[in-house]
Amino acid sequence: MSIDVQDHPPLDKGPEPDLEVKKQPRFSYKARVQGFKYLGKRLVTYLIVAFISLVANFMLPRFMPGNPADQMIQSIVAKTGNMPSPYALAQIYARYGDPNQNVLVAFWHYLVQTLQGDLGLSIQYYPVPVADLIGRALPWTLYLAIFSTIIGWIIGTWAGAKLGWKPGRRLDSIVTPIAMFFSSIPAFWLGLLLVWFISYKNGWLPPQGAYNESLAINLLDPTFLTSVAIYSILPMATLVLVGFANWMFTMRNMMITTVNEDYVQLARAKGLKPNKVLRNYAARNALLPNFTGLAQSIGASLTAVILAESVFIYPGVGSLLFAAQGTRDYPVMQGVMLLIILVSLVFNFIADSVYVLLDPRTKEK
Amino acid sequence: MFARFMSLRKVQIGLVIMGVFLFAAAVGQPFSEHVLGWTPYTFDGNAMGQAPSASHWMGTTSSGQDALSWLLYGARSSMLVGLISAVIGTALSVVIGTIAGFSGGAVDRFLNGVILVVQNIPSFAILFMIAGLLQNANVLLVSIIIGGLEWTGGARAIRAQAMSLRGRDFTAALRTIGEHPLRVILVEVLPHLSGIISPMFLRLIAAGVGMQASLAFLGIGSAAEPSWGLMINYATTQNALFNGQWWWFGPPGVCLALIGFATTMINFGLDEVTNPTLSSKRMTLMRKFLKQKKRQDAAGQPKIGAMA
Amino acid sequence: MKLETVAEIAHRIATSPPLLEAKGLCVDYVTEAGNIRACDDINITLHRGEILGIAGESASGKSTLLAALGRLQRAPAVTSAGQVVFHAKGKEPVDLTRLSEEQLVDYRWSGISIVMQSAMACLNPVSRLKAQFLDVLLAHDSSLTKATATARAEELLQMVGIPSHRINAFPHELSGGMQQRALIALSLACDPELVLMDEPTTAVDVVMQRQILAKVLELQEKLGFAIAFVTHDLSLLLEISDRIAIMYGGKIVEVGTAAQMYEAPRHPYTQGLRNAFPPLTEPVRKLTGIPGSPPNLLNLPQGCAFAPRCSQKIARCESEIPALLDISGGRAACHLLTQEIPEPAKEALNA
Repeated sequence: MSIDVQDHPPLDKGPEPDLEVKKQPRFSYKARVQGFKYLGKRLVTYLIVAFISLVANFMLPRFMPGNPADQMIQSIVAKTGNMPSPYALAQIYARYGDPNQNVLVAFWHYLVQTLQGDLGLSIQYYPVPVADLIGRALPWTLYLAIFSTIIGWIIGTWAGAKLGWKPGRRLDSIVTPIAMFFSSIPAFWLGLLLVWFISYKNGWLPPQGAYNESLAINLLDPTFLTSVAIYSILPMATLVLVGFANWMFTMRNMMITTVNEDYVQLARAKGLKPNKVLRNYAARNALLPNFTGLAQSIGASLTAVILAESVFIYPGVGSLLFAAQGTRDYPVMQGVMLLIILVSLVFNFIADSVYVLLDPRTKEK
Repeated sequence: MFARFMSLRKVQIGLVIMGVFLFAAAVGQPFSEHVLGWTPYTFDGNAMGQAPSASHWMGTTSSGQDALSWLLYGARSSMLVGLISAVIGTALSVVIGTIAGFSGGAVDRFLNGVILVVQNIPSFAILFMIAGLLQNANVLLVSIIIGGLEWTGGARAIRAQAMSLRGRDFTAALRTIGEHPLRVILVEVLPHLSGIISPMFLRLIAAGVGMQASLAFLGIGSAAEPSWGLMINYATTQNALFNGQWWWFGPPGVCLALIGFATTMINFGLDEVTNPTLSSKRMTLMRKFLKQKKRQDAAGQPKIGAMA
Repeated sequence: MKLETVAEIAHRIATSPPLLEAKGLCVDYVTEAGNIRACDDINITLHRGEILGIAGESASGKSTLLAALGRLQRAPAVTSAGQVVFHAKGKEPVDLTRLSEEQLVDYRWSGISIVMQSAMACLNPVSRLKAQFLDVLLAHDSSLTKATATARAEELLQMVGIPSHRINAFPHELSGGMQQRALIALSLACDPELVLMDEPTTAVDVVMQRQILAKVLELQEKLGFAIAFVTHDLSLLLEISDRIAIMYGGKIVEVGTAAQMYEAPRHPYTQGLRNAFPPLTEPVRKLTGIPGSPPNLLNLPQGCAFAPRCSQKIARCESEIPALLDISGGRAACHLLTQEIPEPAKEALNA
């Protein structure tokens, strides 16, 4: 129903005396309040999830077989030949169980430390802080995640709109099953195939790494940037190939439904160019679910990115995790996991905000 | 409805693939042990890293394990993880969804909150964390975690459905004549939910199989359970790619992709049955009809503008 | 409203040139269970400036026919045979069924526009009214600039009683009645020669329905476009139409002027519809409905589709499909009208 009542004129009132040129805000006041309420609710949910993850992160090591704290101290001693510093010791005990400390007190310390961005010290690279390791790796991972998701989204949405506009054509019956197969391939395995075929067999592209190691990292150096782009072709291609099909299917099915909507029929009846009907009426409406999904799936794609990174030995958090897993570097593993959860929550929240911005009818579904 | 579902080509292909893997999971181990004479635990010192041959139908790993027997053992653990997580996830979503939808009020608000929270937990991250820290990823643990986290989509759909069913005449009538609510749910409501439950079950199978393979590929699986993911992990760490041993790293990936493909196909078929606008069969009929009409028009009738 | 006599209306229609002709038009629904013929061999001519009412029960094929006349049927409906000849002003008559979607663009909206049942569903939910007026105005009149087109859109909205600043509203910000009026304003944007109306007032309340109808008739008189008006409400058609066509089971069973339909319907089905609502000027009497339910289009009877429900049927009705024939002043498809019949039955027909 109508949102802003004050605008309704009496029904039989004649034409307005003057053509007032009033710029209306994109959304009425009430719609905006609804939007904020919705976002607030979401934010609370995400905070709960974040808290649960922190608790899980704190509790899990306490269920580990053996005594992880002692194990870690031993491996540091074996690595460096010295006892860890008092600071490192305190941290290990706080995080991995100290029989002499109350669990709640320990949890409080852990919470305060973590919120300050202190994730402990790596065992493998003792005494480098985990936060530093992650800070170095994260940009690479975000680069892969964001770009591959956006490229896959554009390809998939575009193809889905085309297929759904006139479904059942030969193109549709060929492309759809093929895309179904691609979307089912595990990202890491497709990555392996590409490495085997493109790098080892034919030597077209470098098989691993993120840039030519003989170059210095310099974001202003075009040679460096080109090298980054070339090295990322294979991991990007892997992630795009695995990811685009789902966008295509949702867009295709949404289009098939939308094309039958009255407003699309009316747009056809208006005699607009078919391309315009496709763009401004059908696709624009069918796009909404895909748009909301976009930000969310950047977060969700982290799993695939991590797996692909370990195939391409790409220096992101995936490789960090892979290495930490092999050496039982628990602080790193935990830090990375916590980070992945937080990053996906952030992208979920961005998705919610985009949704509120895009759909003038925002209602919680 | 069921007959129409079964008559779809997509569904037939999907079911055949799933059937083959289930069969492999059931009889693969004895077959491999007694007919092939190999298991993933036996090493053929005379055939290390060999391409497919008469004695090893799908070749061997570089330490002489038979690739086919490994695949068959892997089918078993994959299907087990898939099925157990699907059963757990489906059961959770049905129970929580129906309780929330039917009880309404405070119970519903609480359960809806739980659904929202669990929905936002990235399953793989949690799975990785638990499996990594416990240094254990046996079939049961993986299935419980996946089933325990991946039920929210289904629960939401079932909750919505249950809420609308609650208002309908026949359930109201049954309640007024004093039927026990549980009986009403079990006998009258659940059959209506099959349209939600079956695609969810299939998706959970695929999710379970995929996540277990990913874990094993990262080396967090239990080394004692031969699985497809572990096979790919060994292949990469032992340079199968560099050596071009495609029979080692290829087939397990194909199997994983096929399971995902089969579940997607069946789900597309389900969509077409429940939503006729998506029916590809009808689209084909339309195309044929129009083509035929075009041919008829071209043969007879005057052209544009030429009329009395 | 109208102050024409019956004879004047008949004369006006007879002398007015044809605007849209359906010749042997058939529409099929392609389904997995087989093709369903929703409109079968429709022959009807719509004249310039005429208001033609099309009435029938649900599933009689009336909305399908309207969509086919405007070449707007959506899958799985297909025009399977026949022609729709459109006599656009200053252009050669053209068979719309033979035109591609691109060729049709020339005839759409400036020739034929449409108003559908639910305005909420017809207006693009994610764009403002302004955009939805401007795109069609600019597409059909290249002499318009953005500013003049906006002024024209505001003028159209005012014409139907919507203040011009509402042009910046999203459809969901308007009330139901306003949406419907906005849709009517939109349908008149390019000065069409024919407006197809598919139950345009069914979704609004009765008071709003009267207001909207009065507005439509007023504009029709002023601008002179023709209207094809589809509804299940025969009483409403009797009030507003020049001529009325009655559909049953995918066929037109009777056509005549509104007065004929009101005073002397010929087909037993029309009589049934006519007797299903009370006349305002006569004393209260018992109303009768039509027993039975509409036919299954997948499995039509061999003879007249109405025969199973017809109280006056004769043997021939069940074996032979009656043709739509000229009967004094109108047309009807019924065997009773073409044979020698005993006096009492004839009286009943002419009653």
